[in-house]
Amino acid sequence: MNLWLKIGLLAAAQLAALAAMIADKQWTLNTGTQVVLQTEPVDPRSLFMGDYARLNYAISRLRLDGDEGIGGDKEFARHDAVWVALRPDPAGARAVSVHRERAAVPPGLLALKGEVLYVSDYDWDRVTSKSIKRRTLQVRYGIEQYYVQEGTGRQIERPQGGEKVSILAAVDARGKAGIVGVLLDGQMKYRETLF
Amino acid sequence: MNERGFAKRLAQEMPQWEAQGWVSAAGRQAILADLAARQSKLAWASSLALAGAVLLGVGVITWFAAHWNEMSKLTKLVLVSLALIASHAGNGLCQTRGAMPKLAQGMVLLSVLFFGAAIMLVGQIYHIDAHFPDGIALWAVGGLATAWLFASQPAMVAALGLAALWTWTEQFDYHVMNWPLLGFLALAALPLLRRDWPIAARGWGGLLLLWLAGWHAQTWLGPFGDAQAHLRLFALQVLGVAGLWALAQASTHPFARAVRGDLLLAALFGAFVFTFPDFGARLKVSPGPLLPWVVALGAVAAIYAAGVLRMVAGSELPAPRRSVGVALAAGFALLLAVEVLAPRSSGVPALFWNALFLGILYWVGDLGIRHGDRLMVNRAFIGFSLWVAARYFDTFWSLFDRALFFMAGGILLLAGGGWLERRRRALLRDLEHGEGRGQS
Repeated sequence: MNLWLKIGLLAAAQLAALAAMIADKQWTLNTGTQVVLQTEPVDPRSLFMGDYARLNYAISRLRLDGDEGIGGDKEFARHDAVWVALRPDPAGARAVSVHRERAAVPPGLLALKGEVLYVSDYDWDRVTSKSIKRRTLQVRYGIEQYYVQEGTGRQIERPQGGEKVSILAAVDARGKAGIVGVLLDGQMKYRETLF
Repeated sequence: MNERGFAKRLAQEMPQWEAQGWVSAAGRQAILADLAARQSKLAWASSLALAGAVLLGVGVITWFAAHWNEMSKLTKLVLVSLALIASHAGNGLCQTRGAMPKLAQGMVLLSVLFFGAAIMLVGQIYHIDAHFPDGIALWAVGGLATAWLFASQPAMVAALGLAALWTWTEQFDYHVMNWPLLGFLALAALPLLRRDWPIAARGWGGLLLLWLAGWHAQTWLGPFGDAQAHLRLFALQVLGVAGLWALAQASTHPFARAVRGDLLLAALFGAFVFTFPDFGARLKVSPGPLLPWVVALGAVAAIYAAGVLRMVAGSELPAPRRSVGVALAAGFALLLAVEVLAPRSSGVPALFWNALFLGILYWVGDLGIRHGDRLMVNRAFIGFSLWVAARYFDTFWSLFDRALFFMAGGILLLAGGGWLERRRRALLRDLEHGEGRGQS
């Protein structure tokens, strides 16, 4: 095969792979059901890194038992794939139940796919500032990082002066999520575009 | 030898050649003058080009890094694509215009790195936060395609290194079996079978061994060091690796020649592990059915038998030595089959393993001497040294009080080590003389 033909083929294949990554993301944003997710301040130890903000959501930590325990399955292990049933709400979607199988998600609810980061038998109670025995799941949805202009990430991670940061996400038919935009006090601060 | 070293050596040798009448005085001057002129020209040209390329590269990278935040997504995408295309074009120009094969290989490697950078940058630009090993897998596949198309060993080594990272994260971090890696290994084996790439071939063998080790990180096998399933699997893996080594040993193909040393080392390591009396004796017996293990044993034993039969068929050893080899191979397979089928409850199997291990080492060393293979001889001696050290700590600790233990043991190790090293050097000397005689 001619050398330049080989080079052309390889470059085309590699660029196509990169384009497929973008197309997959864009498909999620364009076809997905939009839902508002409330963010929570990140752990003070995970400070702003480089030029991206680390996001933690109200649905990132799922309580499996106790008064605030959600429905669904109870036994999970690290790196397990989970399906979280979400009830959309303009003030912030709420996790209703968590399941091992997508088919178990109750009809009428939005199915969001995640990965178990870890399972803990103890949880930190913010009201009493004490550790209490409560089984919790820390779940990752693939929307925990958001690259922004250098120096502005901290504003999203740890808002000041009572600002409320929420994320407008799109959840597609495969349960994959993508960030459509960042809302600051309900107003769109950053919006994702193709170019 | 590089140009400078060659010129220096030539200048040293020339007076003697002139004295012998092999070259004239005028010829000597002409040769040295021509070499000096060529050398300076080459050094200046290449160093200036290299410095220019580095300066340009650093300047371009720092400029774009400084302005990255101000650029639109489209500009960033165009830049990423251009960088990738430029590295490919650089390879093409080096091969066609300048006929600089080494620089072309450098550009090929650069294109592999740029593809990885492009994946990460696209991930950053579009906030893609997917399953981490998938990105490395895509990068490794890109490297493999590059190695295939441009017959590049450096690109193949890079692709195998990336695949190792991919399988490490999948199997040891996520505890998921990386089955697609088998396809990657098969695709990587095709160019390796066609070309003489010893470094890449050894990388391929290392990747296969890493994948096999990754089985033990799977949670469905039970906790490591606690479940008998790990011991059974390990025995099967040792048998399979020994079979692959036998197949490679029976072949004269460059790929087989390159990979067999590491396979032998892995098989010897496996056999060495079984020589420990306590190994596996305290493991929990798996409550599951035995049938899957029997089926797996049959499949792996078939590979092993094929390897041993090929070795025997191609063997030039005299009949008695060949019989010893076959007996050791059968004993090795039998002991491994016992480890798979019957759970260890005492240290008795270790007695047989120790005897067999010593026999195997002797046979491997003997085979290495007969084939003039220094690597095999060295591996046999390393194995024997390790075995002596292991049994020293196992046995002497319980026989002597501490002071005597250290003194007696130390003297034994020093004497044994000195004797072993003398024997090894003598054998290697004999091998060298044998080679010299064979060449003359």
